[in-house]
Order: sequence, then C-alpha cells, then structure tokens
Amino acid sequence: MSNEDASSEDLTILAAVESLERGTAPFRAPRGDEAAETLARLYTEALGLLPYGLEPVAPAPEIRKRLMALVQGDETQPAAAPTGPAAAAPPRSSQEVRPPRLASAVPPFAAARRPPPRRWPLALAATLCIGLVGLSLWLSLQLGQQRQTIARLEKELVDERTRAEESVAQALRLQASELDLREKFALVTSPAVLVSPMRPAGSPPLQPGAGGVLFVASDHQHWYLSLKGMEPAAAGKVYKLWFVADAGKVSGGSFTARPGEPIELSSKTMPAGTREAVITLEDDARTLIPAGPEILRSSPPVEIG
Amino acid sequence: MNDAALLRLVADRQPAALGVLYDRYSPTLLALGKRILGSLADAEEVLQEVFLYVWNHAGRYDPARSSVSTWLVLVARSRAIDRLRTHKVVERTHETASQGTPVTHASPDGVEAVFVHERRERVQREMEKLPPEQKQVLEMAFYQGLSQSEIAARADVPLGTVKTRTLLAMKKLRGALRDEVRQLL
Repeated sequence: MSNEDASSEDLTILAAVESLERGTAPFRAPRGDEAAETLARLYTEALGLLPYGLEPVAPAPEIRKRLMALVQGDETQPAAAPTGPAAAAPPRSSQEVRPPRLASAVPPFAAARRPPPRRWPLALAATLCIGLVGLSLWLSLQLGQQRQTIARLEKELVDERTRAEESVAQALRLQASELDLREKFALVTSPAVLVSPMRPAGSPPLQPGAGGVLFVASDHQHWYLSLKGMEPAAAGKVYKLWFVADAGKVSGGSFTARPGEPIELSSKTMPAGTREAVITLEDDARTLIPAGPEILRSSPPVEIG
Repeated sequence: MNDAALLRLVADRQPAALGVLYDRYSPTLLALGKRILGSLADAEEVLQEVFLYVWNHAGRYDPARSSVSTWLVLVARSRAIDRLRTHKVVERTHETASQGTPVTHASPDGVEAVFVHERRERVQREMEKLPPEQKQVLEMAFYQGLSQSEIAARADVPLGTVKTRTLLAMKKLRGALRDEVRQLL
C-alpha cells in the first residue's frame, strides 16, 4: 500500500470515528470513491462490533410487553392511513345516495309539462340504477385488477431490492477480499521481506507432497503463510501452526485442509523472537502445547530485496 | 430470516418482525446503554426509545452504509450519549449506582447463543490485546461520545497523539475482527 493510500485510509478511519459525534447515521465516504467507501464500511462495521464485547444484559420482560403494546396500538394507523382515501367514503356514499333525490325531483318537473305516463320516471330511474350497477361492477373489477398489479409490482420491488442488497453485499465482500489480497501482495513484495520455505518434517515425512512459504515483513510482526498439498486431517484432528519463539512454542492458530485447495493464513502479529514455524497435527484445536506429529517445518529464512 | 428482511417488514408495519429484532439485539443494546449511562433504568428507557425509533424510521436504514446490527448499535449509542449529556441522568446514575442494581445476563437460545458468545469472546480478546492507551481513546470516543480534542484534553496528551492512537487501535481491530466484519456484510 502506498503512502498516499495509507494517508487516505487514515483519513477515512478518523472521519468514521469523528462521525460518531454527529448522530445516528453511519459514516459514508464521498460517492464515487469505491475504495474509500469500502474502507469506511469496514471500519464502521468494526466500530459497530465494540458493544459485542460487553456482557449482554437481559431486559425486563415488561419492556418488551410495553413496546409491543405501543407498536400494536400504532399498527392500526397505517391500516387507517389507507382509509385516508377511504375517509372520503362518507361524502362519496352520500353522493351515491343522491340519485334517488334527483329522481325524486323528476315527478314535479314532469308533472308540470304534461300529464305523464307514470312509467317514464320509473323506467328512467331503473335505467339509471342498472347503469350505475354496471358502472360499479366495472369499477370494482378495474380496482381488483389494479390491486393485483400493485401487489405484483410491490413483490417485484421487494425481490429487486433483495437482489440489489445481495449484490451490494457481494461487492463489499469482493472488495474486502481485494483489500486483503493487496495487503498480502504489499507484504510479499515489500523490501527486506524474509521468506522461509516450509518443508515436510519427519523421516520419513508424513506428508511428502505438502509444502509452502512463510513471508515475514521487515517489522517481524506481519506474516503471511501459503501452503499447498496438505492432506485433509482425519476426523477429530486439526492442523496447528506454532511459532518457535523466545517464550517457547506459541500457537499461531488452527486450520483444516480440503483436497487440492491451497491454504492461506496471515496476521499482523507474531511472537517476539520467532525463529521458525512448525505445523503439527493435533487432537485438540485448543491445546497450548504441541503433542502431535510434525507435518511441516520452516527452513532458515532468506531475505529478499 | 435475515436482519434486512426483518427491517423491511418493520417498515411495512409488521410488529412481529420488530419483536424478532428486539429479541435478537436487545441484550447487546441494553449492555451498550448500561455501559454508557451506568444506570440500568436509563438504559432500559433508551432501549425502548431505540426500538420505537426503528418502528417509526425503519425506512431510513441504508444497507449500503452499514449492516442492520451496526445501524442499531449506532442508533442506540447516539440515544444513550444524548441522554448522558443531560444533568438528570447524571444524578440518577449516581443514585442507581449506589443502590447496586443487580445485573442479569441474557441467555439467548440455540445457535444464536453460541454465535453471540463466540463474537463476545473474540471482541473481548481483541480489545484486551490493544495497548491500554489505544483502548482508552477508543472507549472514550465510543462509550463517552468525546471528540478527539476532548479526549486530548482529558488524557492530557497532544491531539496528534490521540489521532495516532485511534488510527492504530482501529487498524488492529479491523484486522483482528476481519471475519466478524465479513459476517456482517
């Protein structure tokens, strides 16, 4: 990583921490700068993990009850919100009541002009009623279709949003992986990096086809281990990495292997005075003392660059 | 069901979805409130405020900016810090602290219990690995809501030193909690 990248990362970190002072919204890097956006997201998530280090505290059950009561009381409001349009229903229904009133106005008018055949107004009213019933049916059919369309579009919208979120998450995972790769690349190509081949141990070696390379940065802290040809550990067994240091053999972590797949391990810390690294096959991943057979052992390091 | 889907249901006014999110996150958020405020009673009030905020503003959540977990943590933290800055709370905190309020530990069920437990152990371990001065600036910023300048004044160190310690702490944490961060993405 260049100095410019490093200072850009520093600015992103400080901005993310300082954004904590300003409110609830997570920090966001300037749009368009994907690397900064990814870094901002990663550091924001790291900050968000801090409370997980606290002992969780169970809230009193009344709090949940009170909350759910408040929420369920409020839940009817949105259901009532759509009644906003429906709240206009009373006037509409009063309008629906109007036709009879209009119809009732017909007889005097008709009576004034000529002696009516009394069936006229009835026929007119019946025609109007039939027309209104037909119109209502047609409108309700249209409404039903529109509701179906809206439901379908809403479902599509939810699906699209889910897909978009999954894509964003995938892109973030890829960017995080890219950052990892860049860091590893920066390590293995940095000046004065120490390179130790990992070779099969024991005579005869338990896994003659296994091997790898251990890169240690010039600060003797940051390391990256790449392994190939490791056989899958038997059931109940696990591989463990040990650093042979001033304080004795210190565990560097445990891992498993899959057929044909390379193994990559890295960390930004290494025990003080580490002279070599060993990989053993153990029964217990939590053991603090190597007890199993050695599989690989590092050769003396060579300084590159 | 994942958190983002639950939050969408909350935005669609589904109380059951809010209940699931509450069960999933309330022990951690209550612990956060208690850590900031020092008072369980105040922390419980903040917890209720947080979930009412979620109920009313679930649509404000932006998945591009953070996970649901982090959004909830930041909302809860912000509410608790706001409350901390009022005098009332300070008084009540002293009262409650002197009463020695018993703390109950949550025990969420099944897989989530294991998951939460592992995450807690990992975060605790990595925080303990930080040099004390780096851990101090991070905790002052996160749990006390102090700005970098305020931390410098309180710790009686130059502002540049506070920034350097913050940077070192954050870089170590991000590296050490890489797997946990990925699970949130």
